[in-house]
Amino acid sequence: MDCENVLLCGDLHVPYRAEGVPKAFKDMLLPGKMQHVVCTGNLCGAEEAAWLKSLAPRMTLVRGDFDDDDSVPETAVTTVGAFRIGVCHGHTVVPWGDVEALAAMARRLDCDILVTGHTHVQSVVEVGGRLLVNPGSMTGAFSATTAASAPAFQLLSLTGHAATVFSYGLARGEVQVTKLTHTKGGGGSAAAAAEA
Amino acid sequence: MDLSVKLSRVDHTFSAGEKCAGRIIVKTRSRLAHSGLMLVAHGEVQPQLSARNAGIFGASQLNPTPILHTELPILDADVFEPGEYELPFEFPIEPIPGETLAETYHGVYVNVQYTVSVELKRSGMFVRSLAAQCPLVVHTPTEAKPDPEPNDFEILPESLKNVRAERLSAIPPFRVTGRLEQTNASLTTPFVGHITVEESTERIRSLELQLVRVETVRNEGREARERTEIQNLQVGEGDVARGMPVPLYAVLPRLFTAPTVHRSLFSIEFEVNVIVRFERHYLSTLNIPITLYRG
Amino acid sequence: MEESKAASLAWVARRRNYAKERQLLAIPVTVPDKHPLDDEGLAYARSKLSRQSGAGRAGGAASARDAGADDPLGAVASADEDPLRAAAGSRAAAAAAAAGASSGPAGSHVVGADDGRASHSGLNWPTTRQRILRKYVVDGSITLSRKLFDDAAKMDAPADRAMSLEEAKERLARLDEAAEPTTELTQRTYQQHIERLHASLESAWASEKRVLALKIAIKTSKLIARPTSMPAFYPSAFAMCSGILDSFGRKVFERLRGIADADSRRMGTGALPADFTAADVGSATRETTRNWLYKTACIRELVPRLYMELALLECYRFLGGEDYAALLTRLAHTCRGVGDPLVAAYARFYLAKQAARLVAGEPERACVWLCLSDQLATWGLTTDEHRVALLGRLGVSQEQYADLFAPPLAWLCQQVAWKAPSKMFSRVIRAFRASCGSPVALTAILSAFDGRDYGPHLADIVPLIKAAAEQPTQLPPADMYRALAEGLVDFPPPVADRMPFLRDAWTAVSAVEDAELFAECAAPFVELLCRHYEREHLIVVLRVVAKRMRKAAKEAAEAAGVPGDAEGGGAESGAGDAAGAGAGAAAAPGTAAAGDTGSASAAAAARRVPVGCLSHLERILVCLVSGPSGSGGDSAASGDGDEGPDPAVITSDAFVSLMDLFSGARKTDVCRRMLEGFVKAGKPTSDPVLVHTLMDMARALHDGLDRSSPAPELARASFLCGRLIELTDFGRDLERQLALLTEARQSFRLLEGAKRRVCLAGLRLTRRALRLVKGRHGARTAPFMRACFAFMHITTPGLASARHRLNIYCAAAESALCNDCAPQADALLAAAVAEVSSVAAPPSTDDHELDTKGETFAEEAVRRVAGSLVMAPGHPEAGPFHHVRSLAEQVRLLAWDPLSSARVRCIMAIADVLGCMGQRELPYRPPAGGAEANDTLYAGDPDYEDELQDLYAATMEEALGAVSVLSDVAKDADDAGSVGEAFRDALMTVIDGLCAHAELSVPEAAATLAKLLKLAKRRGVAEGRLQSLARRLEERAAAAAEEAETGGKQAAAQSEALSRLANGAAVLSGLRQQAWRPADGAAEAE
Repeated sequence: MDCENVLLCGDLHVPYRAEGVPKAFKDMLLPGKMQHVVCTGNLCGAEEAAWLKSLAPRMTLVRGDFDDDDSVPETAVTTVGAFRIGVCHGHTVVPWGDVEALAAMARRLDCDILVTGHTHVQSVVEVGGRLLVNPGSMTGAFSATTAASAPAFQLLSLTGHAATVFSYGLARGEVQVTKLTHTKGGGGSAAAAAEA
Repeated sequence: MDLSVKLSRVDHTFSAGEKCAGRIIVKTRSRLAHSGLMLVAHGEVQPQLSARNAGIFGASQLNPTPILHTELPILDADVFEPGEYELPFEFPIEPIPGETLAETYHGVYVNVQYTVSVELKRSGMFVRSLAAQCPLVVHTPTEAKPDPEPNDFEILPESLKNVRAERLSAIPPFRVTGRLEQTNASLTTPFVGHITVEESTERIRSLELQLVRVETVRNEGREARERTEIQNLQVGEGDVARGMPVPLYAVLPRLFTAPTVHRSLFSIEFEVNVIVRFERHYLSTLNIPITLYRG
Repeated sequence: MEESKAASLAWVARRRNYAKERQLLAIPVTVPDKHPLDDEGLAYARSKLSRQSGAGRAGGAASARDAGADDPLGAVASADEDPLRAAAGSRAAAAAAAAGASSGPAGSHVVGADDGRASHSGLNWPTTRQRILRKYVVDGSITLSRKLFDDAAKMDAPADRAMSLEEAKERLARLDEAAEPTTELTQRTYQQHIERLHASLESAWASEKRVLALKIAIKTSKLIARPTSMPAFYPSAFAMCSGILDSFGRKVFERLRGIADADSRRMGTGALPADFTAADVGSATRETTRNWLYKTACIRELVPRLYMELALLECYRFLGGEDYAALLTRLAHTCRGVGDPLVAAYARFYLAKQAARLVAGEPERACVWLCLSDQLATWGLTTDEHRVALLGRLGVSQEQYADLFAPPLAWLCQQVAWKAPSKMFSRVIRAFRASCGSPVALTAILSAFDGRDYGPHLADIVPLIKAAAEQPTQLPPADMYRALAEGLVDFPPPVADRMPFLRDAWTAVSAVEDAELFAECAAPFVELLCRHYEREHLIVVLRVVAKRMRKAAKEAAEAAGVPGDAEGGGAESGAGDAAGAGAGAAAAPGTAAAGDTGSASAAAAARRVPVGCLSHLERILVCLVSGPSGSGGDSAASGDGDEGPDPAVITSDAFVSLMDLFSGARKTDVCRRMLEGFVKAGKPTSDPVLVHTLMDMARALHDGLDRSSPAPELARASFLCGRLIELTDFGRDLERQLALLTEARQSFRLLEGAKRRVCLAGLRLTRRALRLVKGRHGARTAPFMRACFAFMHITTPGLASARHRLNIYCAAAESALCNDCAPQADALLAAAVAEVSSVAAPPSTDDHELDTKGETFAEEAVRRVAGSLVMAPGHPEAGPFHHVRSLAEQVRLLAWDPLSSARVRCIMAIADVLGCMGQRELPYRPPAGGAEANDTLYAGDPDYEDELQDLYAATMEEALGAVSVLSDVAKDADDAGSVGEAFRDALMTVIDGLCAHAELSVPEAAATLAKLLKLAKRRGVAEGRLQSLARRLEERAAAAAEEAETGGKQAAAQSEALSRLANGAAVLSGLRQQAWRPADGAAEAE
């Protein structure tokens, strides 16, 4: 079955908080590797936006608190394969990054996967059968509570009803990758969560 | 009532030995009775009278010589109901026994032409027969490709034509060399070669490649000859660099050319002139006979 | 909704453990063996890139195709912009610009071809034609044969009919009588004649008179078949006539295409593809094509025949089966028949340009190389006795004559050099050395190739230049050195050759008399020196340039005959010189003041600097500011590093005095361009002197604008000034950084964007400080931090956008908390809260759409501030919740749209903040070393707890009240449309909020929630949403049950309550058919 790769990224804050995406990432992310780019906002710089756009034929972008363009929506939903993917920057989630608040937003947007940012901390959780992901800050920009974060992004690989999340992070100059899988409609049962 | 004849090829061109195919189209709005539909293909060599050959031919001797004649009955007497009819036909392009086919040709002294005509015969007090015709172009390709027979040439002051021998010493020295790739040339492929001004103290004005047709008609031991320039292409303009080969290149004109023909009554021959014209008024011409064939 | 009121005491914020919840929900991760971006792919991508760069010069298209074949992903990647192509394009464009002959944006030169051949090397035909027309202008009159001047309509038939030999001889005789009637034209009337010809071609074509159109085209080509009576006009005549030929060729091609297209559609194979081949074309089209080609093949005269064949060259695509290479070779050889070297050169030029329409890559190069090598080999024709005598009669110098060859040579060389294998340069030089030696040709060659080609042979080339300069044409060698320097900028010569080269070259350049030409030649040298030489050499050269320019200004002033001015200018320029030198010595902060004396006088003198010099001087200045690896630099080639502009150069007397040559709008412009250069180079700088100079430029740019300047200009200036601030990095010297920001705030008053960037730079500075002190401030750094936040507090109100202000206040407050500046954070938060009403204030128009946008932004603003408040500590006097209270007050005061859910969502945001504040541990807080948050400050304080629960309950009441109001409105609208949608959204927000932070083991709370769920179901909330909520509640019940096993009555009670609710929700939403337990509370309520 065809596999669709979706790049998840956000909180670049270029050039206000960082000069650019680490070269190690730019070397890996080449056009043709993914079919879709999802950006949770706070891109800020036009050059960065153009680069992301050049990576894949489709791009979904939402507005972060430091983005200029008012015409970019605060939330967006896009469909890739069997999945509805909701996107929101997350500075309006109270409290930031809360699983209950994010689960509520996922229900509100009726999406299978919700991608949010703002915390600059990479995470993946499964709540009520829905997948909540945060790709972190692609440039390792400082966040509300930290002076710096580790540069990170995610790649969502969708095949049928299976979603694999590859999480990339830059630590001590090296790109580290972890992976986890999620099945749409499956998992999410209390028992499975408890086992974890 | 409308009668027309159409050949299957847009350019009306068929080769000797091929079958010429086409359709006869009859359109009528009313009943049309007739006493037969007949197709006639005819080809002939037609000498032409001109001021130049007036002495050679009498008017009586200008009768054409048929070389192809085919009669093809298409329909017997019958009636066309109102409507449109297409009647296909086909006949081989073959000479009258004892004759040889020549290519369709329009020259100064001689024409070779072919026509396909059809006639719908009608009899009666107030009706006329209907007729239509169309030209047929016949090509006579050669079976075997002749050897190209290249010609290497050299032009020296000695070849100057308009200078008397005793004044030759006054001519500044020059040497022009070149090559024609084929003196047996196909009508359908470009005529190629090259020419080099090896040396010349006099400035060159122009280099030209002239294609000349020589048409000859004969009658009772007398003959008339007409040389016609059918193409003149300048290949060098001005004082060209020495020692650099310049291409001789000509696409032969479709009109005015035909395969070289030698017949008892007429012949069509070709030659090229390589002309070197100098700044001061003299020129040197090298004449090279060539044979053209349909390949 | 009256039932909710009874439950007012039910609202208690529950205890949560955010970290543990998250942990429970996390999915186990593994380290993958393979991932979509893994090393294999990476190695592949790298190898592809390096392969492209390796093969790029030998034909990038082919290697890209190869790479594409390896891997389907590769195909996509190679379809993307090929960076090499862009680089080479700019190289060709630079070379073209240098040749002064042809240049322009790459890619407009379109190759009409079948397999996606690359767009060409930056050779741009229309631009080249325009340049020729501008450059070769003559004053005198041009003699033209009457026959050629006649109107198109009166044209006699071309001699393509057969004639007897006698007739042919007569024709020759006629031609021999050279005395044809002629007419005299000026360039203007000639051009008008050409325009008339063009118009008659258009009208002939439009009225389907194809033969007439052909005749007009032939006639046009006859105009350029012989050198014009005035040689200097020939290039322009060529440029004009070739335009008509191009237009004719295009018309014929398009017509044939039309026929082929119609054929193709008739055959049912659809439209003719753009990259069609002869196989796609029907026999009728081929026959028509042949007819056109026959018509051109029988033109008697050589040059018209050649031009017509070239104009129709692209038509060969319809025939196919033709050997294009053989065809082009024949045409290239045909040019040898053109005896006049100038006519031949332009015919080859046209051939080269047209060849690209038919072939690309090596076949194209082969044919153009043939043209170039023939042109070089026959160079002797331009200097033979006959020519020299002729030129003498015409009064044309040999130098002028040789210059007429510059455009075709530049074009041929560039086309040959485009992506050429390295041996190409040697071949061209060999051909040059063998028979040419002309400086014009050498300039063209050096411009077309670059340092990669001649860098290694520099020692051999300099003698060639010297020899060329000795030629009878007497062209100064400076132009050749300029071309060489241009090519060396990106690809430097070997170190050992650098100094000898500079000595030879600079001697030649500085010998140039003409100021403008000198400036043009000097510009690439400055760039070369800046990139690859030592600073002292650069400064020496700069001094010479500055001196020459001052001299030129002085001379111009004198020539203008304004005695006072000239005298003053002269004297002052001397003074300026001294002052400049003084300023250079004093350097540093004093520069501006010291330079002033010089600058006033030099500014006066600058008005006299030849205008043509200024663009070259601009290039010099921009290059110096861009730094060694500046604009257009190919980092792989220049290698040497991260240096920005060299401060010692920027502050040198020479630089300052060059700057002073500019004034007014021109100065604003050059400052903008210099900043562009600096910003484009993108190298952060830490040099205070350099920053000072750059700030001067930025101020000059700012001061050159005003409020009425066009918006894009203001935006660009904002960007540049903002970037300058961002690229300034004083490292640990944070105070200097802050001082710069303060200076910037004052300097960029007009530039909204720049001011915002200054604020954001301030924010970044506070974070950098935090990192430098490793999270803990001491007595020395704390006051600085307070100054930073004071700066933020003062600067932010200057922004025009309330949204920007609010977001910056929030971020600054967060940073202040992290930096242990609680009082500053308090003030910033208060400012943020106060800003909510400005964000909500409807924009000045009464446009409804904008109005709702204001509402959306207000909701966003409240929620944004709410997020920050979670980590904010209370105030010693105003209490722990004073910001929450005032935010709630703001929400109460705002004029909300009664038909939207925004108000409820804002109230619930406040409820959520309160929910968080009741926790033993906040979901997030300032890191260690920062301000303490409420969880530490008020841990276990019963008063705090009571106040919080009261507030929470009241807020929930308020939310439920608001929902109830909306419910009634929606009921009237039958829950349809946007009102119904708003109501459902508000209701679900409350339900979600209750689930998130309310204690549901309180029976009243559970009962109310159950009722709200039923209400939601009744009022049309999607079942999926309720199902999903049910699943979440089940998950929580299960987690609580597990917790209960390890003890904890509370957990057991929670589990029980959650199970019931979950079941109720599940039944409601149709997830489950029946009640799970008969005694279910929710079921009972039903």
